[in-house]
Amino acid sequence: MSVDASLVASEVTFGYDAPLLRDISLRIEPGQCVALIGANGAGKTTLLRILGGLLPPQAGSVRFGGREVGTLSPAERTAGLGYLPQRSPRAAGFAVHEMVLMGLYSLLPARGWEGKTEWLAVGRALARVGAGHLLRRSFATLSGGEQRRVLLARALVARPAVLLLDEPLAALDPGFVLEFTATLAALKEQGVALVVSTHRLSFVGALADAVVVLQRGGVLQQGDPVAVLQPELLNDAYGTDRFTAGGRA
Amino acid sequence: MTFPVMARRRRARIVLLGGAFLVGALLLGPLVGATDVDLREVWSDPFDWSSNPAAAIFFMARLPRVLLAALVGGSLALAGTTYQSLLRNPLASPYTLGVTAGASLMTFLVIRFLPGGGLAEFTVPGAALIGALATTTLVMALATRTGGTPPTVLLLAGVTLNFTIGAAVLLVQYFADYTATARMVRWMMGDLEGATYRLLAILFVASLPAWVLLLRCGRTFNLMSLGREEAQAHGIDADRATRRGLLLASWLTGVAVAVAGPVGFVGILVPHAVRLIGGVDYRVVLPGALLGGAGFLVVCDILARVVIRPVELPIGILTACLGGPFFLFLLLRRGFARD
Repeated sequence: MSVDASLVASEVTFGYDAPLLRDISLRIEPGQCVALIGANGAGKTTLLRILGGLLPPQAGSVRFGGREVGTLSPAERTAGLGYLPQRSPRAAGFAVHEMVLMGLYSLLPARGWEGKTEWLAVGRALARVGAGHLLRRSFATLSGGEQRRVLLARALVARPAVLLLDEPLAALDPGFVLEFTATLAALKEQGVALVVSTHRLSFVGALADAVVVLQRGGVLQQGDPVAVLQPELLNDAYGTDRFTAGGRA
Repeated sequence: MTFPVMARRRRARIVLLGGAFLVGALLLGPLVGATDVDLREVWSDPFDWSSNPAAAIFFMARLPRVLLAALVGGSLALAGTTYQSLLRNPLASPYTLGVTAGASLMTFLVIRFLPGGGLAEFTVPGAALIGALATTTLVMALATRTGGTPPTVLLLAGVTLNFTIGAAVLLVQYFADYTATARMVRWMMGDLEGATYRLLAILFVASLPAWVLLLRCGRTFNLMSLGREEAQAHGIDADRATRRGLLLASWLTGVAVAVAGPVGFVGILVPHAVRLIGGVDYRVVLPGALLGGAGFLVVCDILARVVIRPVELPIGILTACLGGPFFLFLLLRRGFARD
């Protein structure tokens, strides 16, 4: 790992006809958790994809450890950036352990095979998300929440420096939301940087060091969660007046 | 913690099983047919073909044909596996991108307008290859215009071109005389009779690099079969992987169709059969399909020669007769439906 393991987006713009993202700049340091919030369609997923190098920004840049994310080799990317997609893939036929192992593919030698080290890492990652018992199951037959856990294990398995999680809490039961929040807190302690898009404001309050409120592809407000998450701002961000009308998030 | 059987060992098993199946088929293949050949008789004087008819049948008629079946079957099954991963569709076959239509059109044009041309051994295969590659290139160019190479666009463009070019194929057929029409229909059924050692050598040299390159794509195909985002998140350039894989698979298909006609079902049936035995990991399925496809087509060819001896059936009819029911059997199996 290079000395500078920060993920830096500068003036990122993306969109074909109408811009989906405009001039987004943010910086995530090791051990920091940044929450992305905003109404449906505000641009959270697109931003995470660009941060993870899945989409190239049309203007601006995303750098990890000082280098453009798009120029990282697959192995460097795997060691640097773990990504949890919002939607679970249709993985006909793959077993859970095979799915998690895919998170280590780019670290294997070019024509090599996984060995004991990799299988132990797979087992540890699954245990970490409370899914050790699912190891042999077929991924496609799992419930939505179980699939999320397995995909999370895959994002964790290579021990990346930054975790990009697109709505990790969706479909998880309340007990596991708490477990999962504790897992992420432990990762943070170990210096892992987290970028999490979510609709759960309680999660933001519990874990995030900074929050970025997106609205129609731009940053409405960013900064310390306590300062930013005011009812008036939330009304604006989510297009409602319920936050000031005694409603609860 | 105990782990399930590792992919590496499953692959070794599949390669062993597929290899044994292929070797068995290759040994049996040249011995049976309209007249059975005794191996001892062949080896009593293997190279004096004028006085030893057994050796002549073995080396001149049967062996090249059996080897051709193996090459064609292996290529079609490997190509089918590739299409199924990259198009993320279990029903994709080597012909999904319109290869058959393009190859048929060019072949029929040659049969119609150049009957008995100078280099008969090469005019039909050459034309078929050009037609196959031109169609695939066109389908890929159309799909790329939409930005990226989305599987749905590839599939629909392929299906549409199949129909459109199919109309042109019928038109050429309509204006051909009876002899030419018979040749065309015969070509559509698949045909391994034209095998010569020269053709085999060309076919082998043309196919080998694509086999090697595709066999290395296991991990990429695993991720690509999950989806574009999945592949991109693991550092794979999805568009590049799609174009490269489809071009290699189309090349193999084009070469196979050029020499043997559009032999159906191998490209769908064999990969699924391999998956049932060895799981869905493409690092296991790819070599399994290559060996299994080769063995399967040799077996079909043997059956084509013996079911109504001494008449030899076109191999395409055999693969469809065997393939159809077997595929339905696979579909209706509980395990297949659940996933």
